[in-house]
Amino acid sequence: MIALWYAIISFMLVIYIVLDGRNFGAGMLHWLVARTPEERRQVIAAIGPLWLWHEVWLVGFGGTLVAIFPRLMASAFAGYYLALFLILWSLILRGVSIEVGGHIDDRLWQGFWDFVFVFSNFLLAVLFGVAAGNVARGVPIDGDGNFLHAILHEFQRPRTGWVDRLVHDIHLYLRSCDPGSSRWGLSHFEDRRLRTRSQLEIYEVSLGYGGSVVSCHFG
Amino acid sequence: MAVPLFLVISVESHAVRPNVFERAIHSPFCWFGITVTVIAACTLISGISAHHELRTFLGSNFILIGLLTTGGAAIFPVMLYSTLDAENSMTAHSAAATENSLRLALIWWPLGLALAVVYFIFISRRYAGKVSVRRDTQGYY
Repeated sequence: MIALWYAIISFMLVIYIVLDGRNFGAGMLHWLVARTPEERRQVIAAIGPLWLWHEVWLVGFGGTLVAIFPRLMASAFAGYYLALFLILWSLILRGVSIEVGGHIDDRLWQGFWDFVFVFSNFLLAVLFGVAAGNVARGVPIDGDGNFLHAILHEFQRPRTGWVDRLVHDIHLYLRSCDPGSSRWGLSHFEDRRLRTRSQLEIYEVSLGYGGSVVSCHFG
Repeated sequence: MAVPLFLVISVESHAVRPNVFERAIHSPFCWFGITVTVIAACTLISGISAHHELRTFLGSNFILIGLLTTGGAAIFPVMLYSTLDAENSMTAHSAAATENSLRLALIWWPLGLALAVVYFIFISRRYAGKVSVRRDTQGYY
């Protein structure tokens, strides 16, 4: 029975990561693939009707985790307090930026919400990568199931902290930038020029990010 | 690009948790995940070379599904590994609710899944096809 529920929980998480990965990609590459307001509008339109549905799986995953593995949820929420609140704020800001960015036809207003949109998606990808890294690496959990992972403190520790996690972030980042997600999230456009440019820049960003990770590791 | 980065990640993971890889070798679910990943990678490559968008899209999705399946199966039953003492690690068995709760959840969870699936069918039918800024007006009223 427990193995079955573990499989169900994993299934929900996998579905969420697969679906929301393309939103991360569309968000992070928003400024790179879309130069004009019309192109930015297309990027938002590519994920606009879908992102809420994708988050349903995250909500479902969290709700099921509370009911099925309450001790895990209690420990993880207490230990990852800061990281989870950053995720929550990023999810909120992403939704708000999509919803209110186009309400006022003002360059400053729309520029600000574009920045929020890009930043929150980037932060989400990094934070989910941090979570994946922590699952692989482990946490300093004691016999009572308590631990405290001060994320900023951990990031200051070389080699054992942030580098290990950053490497795991690549999984999610590549997912956001790979050709498959670009097909759905970015190249799903009427404008062929935008599609070509987006694919080229996707690879450029991947190379840049990959290079920085490798240099952090070996440097 | 993805292949060398994947190798870096694998080496890193092996450095911090070597026992996960040993466990993965003996798990049939891990082999299933690896098989899915390899087939999906071939699909992705053939999709890119043939400029076939749907095949590329499916390949990239299934690479992720395969990798996550492999990872999930490899760490089971440990859900939160303790770096202080392996005995402190939180397993699926120690973190689970009572047997009664798990049985009860088998009633409400399929109802929730059905709702999510209906939502999916509605959204995918409503917004099928290429993006249109005239039709997809979310955030632009």
